Amino acid sequence: MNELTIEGIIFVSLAWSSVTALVVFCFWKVMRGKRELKK
Amino acid sequence: MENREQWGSRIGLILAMAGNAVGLGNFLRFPVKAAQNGGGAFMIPYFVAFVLLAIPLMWIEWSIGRHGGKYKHGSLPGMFDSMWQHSISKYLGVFGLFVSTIIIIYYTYIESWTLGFSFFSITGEYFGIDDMTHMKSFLTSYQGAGEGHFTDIWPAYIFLLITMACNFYVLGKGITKGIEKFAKIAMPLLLFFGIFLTIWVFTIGTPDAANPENSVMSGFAFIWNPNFSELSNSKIWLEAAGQVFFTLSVGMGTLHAYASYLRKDNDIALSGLATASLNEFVEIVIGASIAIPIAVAFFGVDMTKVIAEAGSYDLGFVSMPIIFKQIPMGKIVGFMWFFLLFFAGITSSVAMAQPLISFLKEQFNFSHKKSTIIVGSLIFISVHLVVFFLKYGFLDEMDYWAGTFSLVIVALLEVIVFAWMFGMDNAWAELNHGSDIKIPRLFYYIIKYVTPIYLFFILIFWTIQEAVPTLLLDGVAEEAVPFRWLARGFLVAVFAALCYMVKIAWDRNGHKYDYRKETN
Repeated sequence: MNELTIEGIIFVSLAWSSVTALVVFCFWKVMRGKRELKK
Repeated sequence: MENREQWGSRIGLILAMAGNAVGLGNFLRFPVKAAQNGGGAFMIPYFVAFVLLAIPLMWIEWSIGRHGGKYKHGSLPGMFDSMWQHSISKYLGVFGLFVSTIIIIYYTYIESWTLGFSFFSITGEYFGIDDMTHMKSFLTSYQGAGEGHFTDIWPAYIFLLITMACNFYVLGKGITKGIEKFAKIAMPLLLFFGIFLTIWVFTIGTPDAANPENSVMSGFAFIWNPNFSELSNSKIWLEAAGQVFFTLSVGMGTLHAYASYLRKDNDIALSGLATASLNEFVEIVIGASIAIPIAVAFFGVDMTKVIAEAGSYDLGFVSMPIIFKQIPMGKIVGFMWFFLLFFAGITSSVAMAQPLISFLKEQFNFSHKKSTIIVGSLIFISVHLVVFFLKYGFLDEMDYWAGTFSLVIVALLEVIVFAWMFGMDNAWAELNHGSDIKIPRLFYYIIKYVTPIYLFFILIFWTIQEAVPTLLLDGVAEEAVPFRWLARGFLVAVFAALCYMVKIAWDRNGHKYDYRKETN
């Protein structure tokens, strides 16, 4: 059976957590900063 | 000339930009490429390309766009002209106008298939089909490219008309009331559908207890278990770079067009990064978790490899419908899958029409309504070539030269104009102006040296490996050859027409452009 190996789990965890962290960081900065565009 | 519109809110801007980037490739192309190129190991060159290519290009395009917007330029000819005052620069910018204009012609037709299949999911039109051969003929007969379930092209044509009407309704409303408002609805819905489908995939587990090796987890293993030996193969590095390139919609002139509607002091560094990261989230977390894992669960690894080799469309339009008919609530899940693709498509296609609309408004003083009608009419007329000559590879020819090869050319041109002709110090100042984050100085050197060299190698590789065989029509059936040449003639004619329009525009307006004076 083709099972997820420990390396596979590490890769998927790293990939998912890094992009999720990047999204959360960016939107956190956007929401706490200047949400509206300067006129 | 009408006053230039501006984005209404930052979230609306980011969602519209992300909508532009998120397309069918996130859900269909990425999982196939990852599975074919070393699984988890693919993510190493993918992230390297993301840092060295994608993020710099995203920032470059936002910077060029905002800079051009200062001088009321919403398309690349004027933007390049404002950065590099040389007689040739505006003609180099024609590539950007050309790419987006050509892509939208065939992309709206592909997009309309997703709308059609959403409808067929709800009505259960394909639910009587049990095998992939018949499902394939269902698709090709719908496209008018073969015989099967549909006896004529009318169903596809009607969904094409609806798709075009949706696109140009949004575009006709303008930036704030049209594109931004639509992105604020479509992107949250797209994310909701995507997350729902991802969770649904996890609930499938092992659909057939008699075949325990066919499971969702085997699908994840297929995509993510790393094959490190692949890393020594240069192909995987170029495939990863190509995927990163396509997924972010760089090299199309569309990000520039959207960014031109920013004000001169608006941040671009954080907004650009937020756009890129949202696209990556949709691709890596959602896109990789739906089509391939579910295909492995129902068909097994070996069959999924065959499906993946046949291409992204077979994965999305042939294998997925077979699965939907086998599961509870398959009609609803099928509808969500195809409507997710439709949203991904339409948020991209509205962006593709924008550069030409902006160009007509700004260079010929047309009203927004008039520009939208002209662009809509031209695309509507041109799309008939794609519809009727699909089976002869008309779409493939356009997709290769405009939607693949020219993207790298535009990216290479823009990085040269931005970093070398405009000057890297000016470019760095432009990028950092109004920034809400501090960009590491390392990117100064990446943008100046690494990104253009990286792009140059991709261009050389693609020229040798793909462009030359495509140009020589290797493997093309004899009866398709005249239509391939017709497609090439069409591409050349569009490019020449755009160059001529640029010439007329600059002959009339060129004396007005004083790039020492900002106008917003």
